[in-house]
Amino acid sequence: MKKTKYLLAAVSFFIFAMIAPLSIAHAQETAVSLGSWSFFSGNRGIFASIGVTQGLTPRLEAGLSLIPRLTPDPFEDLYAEAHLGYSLAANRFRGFSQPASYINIIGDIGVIAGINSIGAPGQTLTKSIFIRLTPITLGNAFYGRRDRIYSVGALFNLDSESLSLFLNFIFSDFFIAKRSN
Amino acid sequence: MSHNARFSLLTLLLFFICLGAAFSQQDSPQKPAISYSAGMTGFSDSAFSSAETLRFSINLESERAKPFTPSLFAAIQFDFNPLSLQTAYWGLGFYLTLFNLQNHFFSFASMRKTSWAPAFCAAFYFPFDSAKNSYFETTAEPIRLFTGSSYVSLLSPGALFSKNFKITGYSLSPFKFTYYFY
Repeated sequence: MKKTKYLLAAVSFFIFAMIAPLSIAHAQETAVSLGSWSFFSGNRGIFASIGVTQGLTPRLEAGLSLIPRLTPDPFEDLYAEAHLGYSLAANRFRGFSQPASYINIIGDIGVIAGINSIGAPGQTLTKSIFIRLTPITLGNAFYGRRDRIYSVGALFNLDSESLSLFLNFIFSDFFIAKRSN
Repeated sequence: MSHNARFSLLTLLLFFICLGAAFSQQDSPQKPAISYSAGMTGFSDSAFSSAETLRFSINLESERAKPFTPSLFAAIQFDFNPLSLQTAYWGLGFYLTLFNLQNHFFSFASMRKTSWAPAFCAAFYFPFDSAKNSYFETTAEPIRLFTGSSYVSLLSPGALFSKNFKITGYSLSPFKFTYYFY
């Protein structure tokens, strides 16, 4: 268990360390993200996510989020994920003086770790890596809002060495700073 | 007459009363507004379902987003994750838009100009599988944004009642999208 905690802490620190210096140049591209997660691996119920995304380069972005279970037993499971996303179709950001492509496609790679059955005797910790494709992305930092729709991904569970699919119906990104017309 | 049959008759009666109420208030010659909704719902009570449930409905309004005009809907819902049609329900209900504010706190949530139109819903749901029980649900849609051609409802909580109107659990709909056909 200790080893896992150290691993999670190291991964988190690595991601923050990577984001912090790069984000200075694109600080205005920080967004608060709300979304949904549907796991197809026995985790029944509704999962929501709240997190942040951060533009790193015109094409690259990073994100962190917490994913609690909402139903049927709120906060029985809690996950945390971190990902790097690459805009496949066009630049995601071209500055606030000119709009980037309103429609885009994003490919993500990330890690997700979670605690299942929190507080119960059978409490477990799971760790997975994932890839994800978001075929429809509408909006960007220029407009102050972005929706990522119908994201489909595959999770590889590092403990059970099993593969499963997941779906994010929608992520809504609310950019903290907008262009000043 | 069985309990289920009486429950169904009561629902149909209420449905037609609401239909009459909705269209008796129509004071403009415009056509009634017909829309469809799609949303996700989760339930607290495993008696209904612990799965993610998708709910689709057809909605009928006498006028778009008009406060305190009962609007009617017919819905179908089924478990989506894991997929199961054995737990499918159909439902009839109504919703009331409580008010419609042009300047509001949630305007940041949309790229389009929106108005804030929270609503209250009530519906009876009947199982396709006769072994399961029908239920009654009331839902609050506090974060419901109207764009002129659609609604978005976020984080809508609901209360579930048995046929005897005893509370049995709660529901939560993270999101629901509604679009007008015309």
